Formats: sequence, C-alpha cells, structure tokens
Amino acid sequence: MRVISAHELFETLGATKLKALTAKPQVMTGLPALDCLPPGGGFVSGAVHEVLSDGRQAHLLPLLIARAAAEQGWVVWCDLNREFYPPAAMAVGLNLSRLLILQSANAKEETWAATECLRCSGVSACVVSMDALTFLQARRFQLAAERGSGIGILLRPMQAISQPYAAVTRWLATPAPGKRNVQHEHLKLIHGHGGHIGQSVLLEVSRETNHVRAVSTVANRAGETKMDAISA
Amino acid sequence: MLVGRIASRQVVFHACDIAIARGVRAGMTLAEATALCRGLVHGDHDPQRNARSLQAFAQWMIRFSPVVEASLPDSIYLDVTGTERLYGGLERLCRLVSESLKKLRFSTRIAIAPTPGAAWAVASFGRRDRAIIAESGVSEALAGLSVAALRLEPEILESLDALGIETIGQLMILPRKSLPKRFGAPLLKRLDQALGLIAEPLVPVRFRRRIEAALEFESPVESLEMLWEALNRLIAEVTDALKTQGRGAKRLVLEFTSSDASRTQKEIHLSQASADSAKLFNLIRLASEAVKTETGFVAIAIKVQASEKLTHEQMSLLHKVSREAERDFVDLTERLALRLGENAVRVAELVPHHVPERAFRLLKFDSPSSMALKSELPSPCHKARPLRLLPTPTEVRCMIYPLSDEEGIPVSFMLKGQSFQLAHARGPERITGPWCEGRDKTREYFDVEDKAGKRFWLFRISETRKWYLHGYF
Repeated sequence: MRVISAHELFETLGATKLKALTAKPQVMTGLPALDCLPPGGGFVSGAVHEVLSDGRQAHLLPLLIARAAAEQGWVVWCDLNREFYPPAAMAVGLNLSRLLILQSANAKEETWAATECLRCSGVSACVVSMDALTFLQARRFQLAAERGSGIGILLRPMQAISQPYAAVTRWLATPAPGKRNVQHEHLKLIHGHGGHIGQSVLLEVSRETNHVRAVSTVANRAGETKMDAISA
Repeated sequence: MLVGRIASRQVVFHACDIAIARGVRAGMTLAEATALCRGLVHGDHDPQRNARSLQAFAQWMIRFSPVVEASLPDSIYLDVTGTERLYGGLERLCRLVSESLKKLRFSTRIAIAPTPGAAWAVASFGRRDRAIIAESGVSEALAGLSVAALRLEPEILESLDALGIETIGQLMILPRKSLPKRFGAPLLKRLDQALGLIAEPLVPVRFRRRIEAALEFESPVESLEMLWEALNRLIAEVTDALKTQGRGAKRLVLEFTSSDASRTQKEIHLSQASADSAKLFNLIRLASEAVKTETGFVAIAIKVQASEKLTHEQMSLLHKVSREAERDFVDLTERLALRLGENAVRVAELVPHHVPERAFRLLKFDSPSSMALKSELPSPCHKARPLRLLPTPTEVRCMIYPLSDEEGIPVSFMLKGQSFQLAHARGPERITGPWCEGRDKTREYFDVEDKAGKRFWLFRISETRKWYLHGYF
C-alpha cells in the first residue's frame, strides 16, 4: 500500500481546490450583472451551486443556468412534485430537446438519481430540490459533479441556511416588489470563495416578452451601507 | 383463416383444411366465405409477420439439416443430401419431421425429391402428404401433376389453360424450342429446374446461435457480491459471443433460480445495442438489486433475447456534445429507467393547445439522435405562464374589487390560513376548457403579485365564481 503523508495530502488537496476554481470551465448565464458575482466570473462547472428560497420556489436562477448549460449537454430537471411546467421554461429560453425530466417516486430515489446524473459526463446541469440534506450527501453531490463535470443546482429551503453544505456558491433568492408587467427577484450571493459575497442582483422578468434582465444593485447597496454607517 | 384487404374488399388469403373442404378458396371475399362456412374464425393477414415467422421456423428446422431455405409464402426447403445415414433412411427422416411438426400443431405436406422444384411440386400438388421421389422417377412423378406445380406466374398459367395444357406431362411432350417463344423464358426455366436440367441452389438461412449463459451453484448463494462475481463471468461469456457475431444486446433477460426452484425473471431493455461488458454489468447489477430471495439462489442465467448489428455510432453533429458524453448519457438514462421505472424518465414536447395543462406532453426518453431531430420546436408562448404549475389547482378564498361586481379583480386571497394582499393583478385571460370533452367551463386567469413580490397564477371559474391557485411564477 502506498503511504501518503499529511503534507503531501494537503498539497494535492490545495492543488485540486485551486484547480477547481481556476481551470474549470464555466457556464455564463448571459446576464453580465449576474455573471460577475460568483467567483471566477461565471458558474463553475463540475460543482454544486445552492439556491435558497422560501419553500424552494426560486426556479428562475436554475432556469437561467440550465438555459446556458443546455448548449453544452443535457439538462436534467428532477421534478418530484410534478410541478415543472415546460412551456414556461421554454419561454425563458430553455431548449426542451436537451431536457430530461425525472419524475421519481420519492425523495430517496430522487437523491440517488440526481447523484447518478451529476456523475454522468453527458449531463451539463442537474436541478434538484432538496429539503433535508446531510453533509455526507452534500459532499457526495459535490464529488459526483466533479467527476461528471456538470453543474449541480440544489434548490434548498430558507431553513437550510444554517445547515452544512458543500456547494461552491450559495444564493439567497427572495421575491421583490415588482411592477404590473415585470416580476422582480432578488438574488444575493451568500457564499463563494473569491466571489462578491454579500452583493446582490435584481432579476427582472417581463410578463409580456418573458425576457429576463439582471440589474446590479451595487449602487443601492452602497447607499444602504452609508446609511448604516450614519445610523451607527 | 387469414383475411387480407385488397382495396375495400376483405379477401381470403389462406384457409384451413376444414374450410377448404366446405368450399372456401383463397381469393374469395370474406362475405362469401362466411356464407359457405358458418362460424368461421378469421385473422388479419400480415405478410411481414408471416415472413418473420417463416424465418424463425426455418431457424428451428436447422435441427434437421444445415441448409434450410425459407421461401415465401409458405414453403421451407431442406437440403437432406447425405443425411440418410444419420437418420437411418429418408423415410425415417420424413416421418421424424412430420411427427415433430405435428407436435407443434402444424399441418404439413412433405416431399423429398432430387430437385427443389420437384419437391415443391409433389408436396403442393401430389396425392399423398408424404412422398419420396427417387432420382429416376422425377419426370414420371411430375407428369401427372397440374402445371401450377411448376411455380409459374398466373399469366403463364392462364395462357396454358387457354391452350388446354393441364398437366406437366402434356407440357413435356411439346417441342422444347417453342416453349420460350410461346410462354416466355420462365416456363422452360421452371420446368428444367424441376427436372434437374439446370441447378437451383438453395439460399440457406443463416444459423444464429441463441446467446445465453448460465451458472449453477453448489450451494445456495445469498451474498450480492458473490452473485455479481458470477454475473460478471456470465457477462464475459455473453459479450464474447456477441462480439464474434458483431452484434450488441438490445434486450436481456436475467433468470434467478431460488433453492425452492422458483424462478425470478428480470428484463432489461437497452436503448442502444451494446456488447460492452462494463455497461452491461452496471445494468445487470442494478436489475439484480431489486431481486429478493429468502433462501438464496442456486442458479443464474443471462439470455440475450434481442440483438442488433452494431454500427459505427453516429456523431451527433447538431450539438457540440462529444460522442463519449452522449454515450455516457444514454447509459445513464438506461440506469435511471431501470431503477425509477420507464415512466419516470421523460422528455417534454410542446403541443399547440390553449388549455395550459395540455400545452405540453411528456414522452418516454428515446435515443438522443431521435431527440436531436425533433429540435425544430414551435415558437414559445408569449403569454404569461408560471414556472411551476400545480398538477391540480388548489381552491382559494379570494376578495375582489369592486365587491359588487362579479367581474372584479382580485385584491387578496387566503391560502392555507395565510393571507396575501395583492399589489398587482394582470388579467383576466379567458381560457375555455375543451368543450368537446364536456369540460366547457371558462377560466379567467389572473397574474397577481402580493405586496412582498411573490407572483401567483389564480383563476376564477366564471360559471361558479370559485377561485383557484394554479401556479407560481
């Protein structure tokens, strides 16, 4: 048996981690204001990204990533609740001929299926909604994604914010008051080494054209911090 | 009796002996036949299926002779040259064949003759069910038979009939030279083939060995690892056999025999034929996980039930996906379908339908190449549609404004004890149900947003004034 020293292990670990951030290809959503937030200026492939939202309802960011990923391979959407609505996904721009919908019988089967999908090199993105997630399973997803070099997108409930995770980036998605014909969603990067943590972006979806726009909220945030400083 | 359709008429193609005895003939219409023979049972004539079964039957007949030809619509030729010693004479062979076919409930007519033409003639038109014609007796045996026994085109038969030539004997008396001029070249060719003046080689069906492998254990095996090891060996056997034939398995059957002699079968369908042992092992492992035993297995077997010729895989040029990744994906879908069930692995297709839940269709995943061809998609719907559509709409209590107006727009609604104050409401978009199915109620859809920015898709049934939540944006 080959003996490996702790130092050597640390070195290789460091190297792979670095590799994960620098050499991995990325998926760009095509919305510059959104793409500039995660580390490396895009959604890293071969990694898991988490989207936290109230009731795991935020489907917009996963759709945007899947839309871009569909150009490189297959997109798998795990639809346990049978709520995924393909016409709307297509209206946002997802290529349905590269989309596989999985309707598993239960969450356990779905977890297995999602891991298998992530491990497959033909899958460029796999979207799965996960209520409870152990660290072991989170790590398993991450390792599977590294092997298959696709993107794993986990839809998590808001309560998961304090739970362990193994994702490269975590996003907080909250609805924001919009206009009559425009829906607003607030996206905040809450984890991602080397990314603009704490910064957010506003997604605007036009109800008339289904066109999605990302607006940077940096200016607003600067104003907020100034206000905070004054009040402090 | 088999009935086929010619234009708008149903015509009898084949009939059984009992029906023929009552006067039913091929070429009659079904109505005529039923008039002649009450209580007639008939099935559809399917030439392709017929050809396939005849081929399979010819495969089966290889047990009697290595050279077997299947000749449509209903003949099988066996080259029995040199098999007398094996079967102890031609009579015994003849009896053996007819007895084994009787067990399969086939009624047959068998003739052994020096030429295929003569054998067919005697079998089809001879007086006895079983006949053996010696080398010297060919022309004698044929002379008394009808000219139809020469396998001729109907036109030639008609002109022979017009001249009053009924038997082959009459034909043989005519000067040879004049025959092609009068009746065309095929007549002389057929006659010579029957008499053995020109050779008529058989086109043998190729023998395909059924690919299967089985293992028996000395004592019942329970451990999964040991089973997998055994399966691995079987797979190696099967893939070797497949590779020598240049074929890939398309459908496999795993058979597990428990120690109480009960058998469990598990079928595996592959979307792409494969002879790759690693891939097959993965699939078989998955399938075997679901097989349960109390007492352990005493034997396992793998049978290849359908195989396909392996071709060079086509590159999917439409998308910039490498071949390997695509193959990897096909493997994945097979594993998913096996464990989650085929109905769990779906692809979506848009359907031009105005009812939201009918606007798409989920299909079973096929192979990726066929998917790529379907990428010509209809233009997307520009109307507001929710990203999540509830499978069944949930009834909600909704406040409208103005209250007095039944056509009012929603201002707030209650869902699971929670109240949502609405800031915006777009609509109504009126959608009438498929009235042809008796669902003619009209839904009035509203795209609403509450004060926090959450967007919902509500509808009101205009006839009942009830409100439902149908989706989330």
